[in-house]
Amino acid sequence: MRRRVTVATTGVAVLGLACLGVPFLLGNYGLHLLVLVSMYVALSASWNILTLAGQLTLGHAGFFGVGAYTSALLALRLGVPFPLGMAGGAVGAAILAAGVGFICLRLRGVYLAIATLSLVEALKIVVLNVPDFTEGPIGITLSPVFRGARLPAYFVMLGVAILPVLATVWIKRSKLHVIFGSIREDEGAAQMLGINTTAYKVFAFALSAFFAGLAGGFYPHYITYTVPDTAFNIGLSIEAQIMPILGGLYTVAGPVVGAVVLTLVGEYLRTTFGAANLLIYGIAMVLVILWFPDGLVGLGRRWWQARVPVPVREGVADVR
Amino acid sequence: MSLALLAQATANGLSLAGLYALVSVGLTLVFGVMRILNFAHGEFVMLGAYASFWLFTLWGLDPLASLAVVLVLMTGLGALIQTTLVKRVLAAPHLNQILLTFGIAVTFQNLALLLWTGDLRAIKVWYSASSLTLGPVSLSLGRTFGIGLAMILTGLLYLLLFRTEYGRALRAVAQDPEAALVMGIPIQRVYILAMAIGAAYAGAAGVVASVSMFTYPLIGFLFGLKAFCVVILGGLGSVFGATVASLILGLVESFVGTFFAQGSSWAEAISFVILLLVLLLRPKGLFGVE
Repeated sequence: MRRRVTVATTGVAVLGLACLGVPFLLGNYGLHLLVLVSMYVALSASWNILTLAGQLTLGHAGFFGVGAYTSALLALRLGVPFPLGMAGGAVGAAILAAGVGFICLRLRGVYLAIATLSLVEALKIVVLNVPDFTEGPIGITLSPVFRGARLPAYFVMLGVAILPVLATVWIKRSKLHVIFGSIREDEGAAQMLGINTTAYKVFAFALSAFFAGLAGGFYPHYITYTVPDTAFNIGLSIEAQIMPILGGLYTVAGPVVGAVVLTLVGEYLRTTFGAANLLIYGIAMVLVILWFPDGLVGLGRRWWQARVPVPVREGVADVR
Repeated sequence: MSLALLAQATANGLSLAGLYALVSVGLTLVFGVMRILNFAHGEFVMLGAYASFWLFTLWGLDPLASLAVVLVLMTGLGALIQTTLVKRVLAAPHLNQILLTFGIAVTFQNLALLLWTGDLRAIKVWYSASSLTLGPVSLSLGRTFGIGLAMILTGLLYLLLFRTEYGRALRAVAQDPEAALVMGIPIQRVYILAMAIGAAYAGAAGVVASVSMFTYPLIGFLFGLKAFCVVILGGLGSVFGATVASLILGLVESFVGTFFAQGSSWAEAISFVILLLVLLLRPKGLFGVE
C-alpha cells in the first residue's frame, strides 16, 4: 500500500509539473489543445460526480450551455467581466441542475436519462426562440479574453479543470463516499438507513453542474462567441460520458485519463479523417461497456497488480 | 379559428401521430418485454429512411415497394443487435444498459453522417406533388399513405399481441419473465422477436418520413426524443398507451403549430413540456402499470 501511495504521489507531482511547465514550450495550436483537454477534464470529471451518486444523466451539455449563455449574456447585456461571468454561469447552471434534480427526485434509471437528454434540446429551442434576449441562432460575439493570448487562458481553464477533480477526491475521502455509494447501489435501502437521499441528490446535481457551468462560462470568452448549436450540443454530452467511461467510472483518475486520451485521439481523427471522432466514441462506448467496464484505469490497475502483488491492508474495507 | 383550418390541422396532426405511433409502439414493446429502454431505437428510423432514399435513388424503387425490403432488413438488424449486443447487458445495471444502447445510437448516427454526409435528402416520387383533397382539407399523398400504413401496421401489431401464440408469449414475458420461463417460453427468442418488431416498425416510420419529409443523419435522434415523450406519456411498456399518446402529441403539435404566432418553432418544444409535466405529475404515464 505504501508503495502504491508513493507511485500515485509521484504521478500527481509529475503531472502537476507538466501541466505548469509544458505550456511554456508550446505554440498556439498546442496551447489550444491543452485548453480543450482541460475543458473536457472539467466536463468529464463533473459528469462523473453525478454518476458517483448514482445519477446517470445524458444531458451534460445542458449545464455547459447554460453556463456559456449566462456568462455571454452577462458580458453582452451588462458588460460584466469574464471572471464574474464565469461565476454567474456556474451558479446559473447549479441552480438549473438543483431544479432538475428536485424535479427528477422520483425518477430513476431510464426516466432520468430521458429527462436530461430532452433537457438539452428543450433549452436549445428556448434559446433559439427568444432572439430578442439571446440573439437566437446568430449567437453572441464576445471580445477575446486576455487580448487573445493563449497562455493565461490555458491557466484559467486548468483551474476550472482541477476543481471538479479535487471535488471528486474530497467526495472519495469524506463520508459522502459512503453516502453516494449507498444511493448508487440501493436508494431505498439508503433512505431506510436515514440518509436524506433527496438532499444529497440535489447536492450532487448542483455540484456537478457548477463545474460544467464554470467551464461553459469561460469557453465562449475563449473562442469569442457562442451559438445555440455548439453550446447545447449533444456531442458535448456524449463526450462528457464516454471520457469517464473509457477512463474508468467512479474513479478520480478515470475522467482525467479519458479526457486527455480522447481529446487528443479525437483531434487526431478529426484532422486526419474529418468528422470521425464521434463515430469512434460511439464504438468505444459499446466496446468498453461490454468488455472492460472498469475502463483504462481498471486495466492499468490490474496490470500493475499482476506485476506487483499488493498486500491487503487489514481492517480496511475494500473501497472502490 | 375557422373550421376548415381546424380540419386541416387535424389531418396534419394525424399524419404526425401515425409516424409517432410507428416509432413508439416498438420502443414501448421492447421496454415492456425486456425492461430496457433502447436509446438506439430512433436510429432504426434513420436507417429505414436512408434505405428508402438509396433504394429509390440508385434503383428507382418506389418507397412503397422498398417498404417490404426495409421491413425485412430492419427485422434482421433488430435481431442482430439483440443477439450480439443487447443480450449481454440484460442482467447488467441500468447504467450499462443505457450507455450501451446510447453508444449504439451514437455509432449509427455518426456512421450515417460519415457515409452519407449531413445533407438533407428528399425523394421525388410520382405522388410527391399530388395530394388528396377532401372538402377544405388537403393532405399530400405521401402523408396519406403514412396514415394508412400506420393504421394497418398498428392494427397488425394488436392482432399479433392478442390473437396469436407469439403475442401471448410477448405479453407473458412482459408480465413476469421468470414465470414465463417456467412455463416453457423461450424468453431469449421472445426478446429477439420484440426487438425485431420494434426495429421493423421504426424502419417503416423511416420510409414514411423519407417521402413526407427530409432524410438526414439526425432524424433518428429527433424521432427518438419524440418517441421517448410518447412512451412516457402513454406509460412505459404499454402499447395501447403509446398509440393514444402518439395521437395526443401529434394533434397537440399540429394545433400549436397552426394556431399560435410563431407556433411552428415552438411546436418542437411541446413534447418536452409534456414530458416534463408527466414526469412531475404522473411518472407512470397515462396507462402505465409501474
